[in-house]
Amino acid sequence: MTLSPPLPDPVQLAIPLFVALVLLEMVAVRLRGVGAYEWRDAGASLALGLGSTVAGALVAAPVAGVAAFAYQFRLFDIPFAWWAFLLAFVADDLAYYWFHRTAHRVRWFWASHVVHHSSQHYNLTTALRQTWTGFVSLSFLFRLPLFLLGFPPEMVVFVAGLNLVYQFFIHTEQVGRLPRLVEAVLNTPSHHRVHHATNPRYLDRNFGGVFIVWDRLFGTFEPERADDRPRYGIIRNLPTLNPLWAAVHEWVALVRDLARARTPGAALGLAFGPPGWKPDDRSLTADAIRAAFVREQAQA
Amino acid sequence: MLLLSALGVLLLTGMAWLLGFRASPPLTAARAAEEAGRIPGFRPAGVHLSADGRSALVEAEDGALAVVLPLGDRLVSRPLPRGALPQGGTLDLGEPFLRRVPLPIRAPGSRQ
Repeated sequence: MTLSPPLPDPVQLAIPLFVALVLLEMVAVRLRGVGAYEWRDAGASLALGLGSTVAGALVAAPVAGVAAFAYQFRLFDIPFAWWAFLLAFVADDLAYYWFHRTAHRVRWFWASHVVHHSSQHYNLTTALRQTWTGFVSLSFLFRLPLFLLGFPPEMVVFVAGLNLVYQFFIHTEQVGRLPRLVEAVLNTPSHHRVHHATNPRYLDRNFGGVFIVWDRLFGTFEPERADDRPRYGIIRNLPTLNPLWAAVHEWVALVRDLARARTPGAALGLAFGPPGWKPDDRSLTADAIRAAFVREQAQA
Repeated sequence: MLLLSALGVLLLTGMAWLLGFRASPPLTAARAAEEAGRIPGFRPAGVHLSADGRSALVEAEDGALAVVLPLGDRLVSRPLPRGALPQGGTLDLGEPFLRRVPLPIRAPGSRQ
């Protein structure tokens, strides 16, 4: 069995389902009293999602060009076969794990990705709160190894779309824990709530897209705890619900910090160090926050 | 397609409004203290609420201060630099969208 191009865009196909499920979740929040919505926050998330689609369309050609260029130097000729799609799906999710981990650990990439975390709510609209500046931060480079291995760009775009669609469903508080085997292998609403939380024990954890096994393998897994309910957002929550500011605020802060940097080393640290890093003793990185929390727990 | 998506955004935002997701719970001392407690290393000891509920000044055990402001149904907090006590009923944080914060209360220890 072969699946040849042109392949459909899974995200475009899923949009009606997204709309229906957001409506259903709103009703569920009203009826069950579990989870939360705020109309301006939801509007901002949806507007950011729309803007992200436009930004993606604008840079699609250069990204496709880079992919095609890398594909020329491929190691293998991987056919459009079902097993290749499965392999591509898993390999793409591994590439996503490393992209996502880097997006939280390196400020340059965080400046784009922070948009997705900038809501203090966690619902299906948060899933659509996506960056407009992923191209600027060169996040597409993380998929280059797939093209160099020999996965055709069309196949990678298709499985990446499936990955994105899967991740929509896990942005909800309506689902508690799933069966143990599912929680062991897949990224679930519970695991991803941890990822979106600012509680010190949850910071920079659970980076997986579809499979949580990457986090278990690379030491970044943290389970959700009943005695430490996730609090969503970022360490320094935005003072506005304006989507434009959500889209660019960290880039603005980065440029301002770079303009004030006194040494090349400080500038490098500010751009490529972890978010919250400062060239003096005012650093407030995720590692520092967690270390302080662990010290407090040990003393208690 | 873009127009359809924009209409979808308006529809869902409107539905959120219609379903009543527009409440802003009052800023209470307990909520302000909890919010300030999210600031790493900040252990709230006392809360000074403004009369109109537009802000709160939270004092930590070590004397540090933080301001807490409502944002929709959530809150936003900012630690204040030591010695940066509010002057004239406002606080100048110098941050986009948070330049001047109304703080119609006296800061603890201020001599205004």
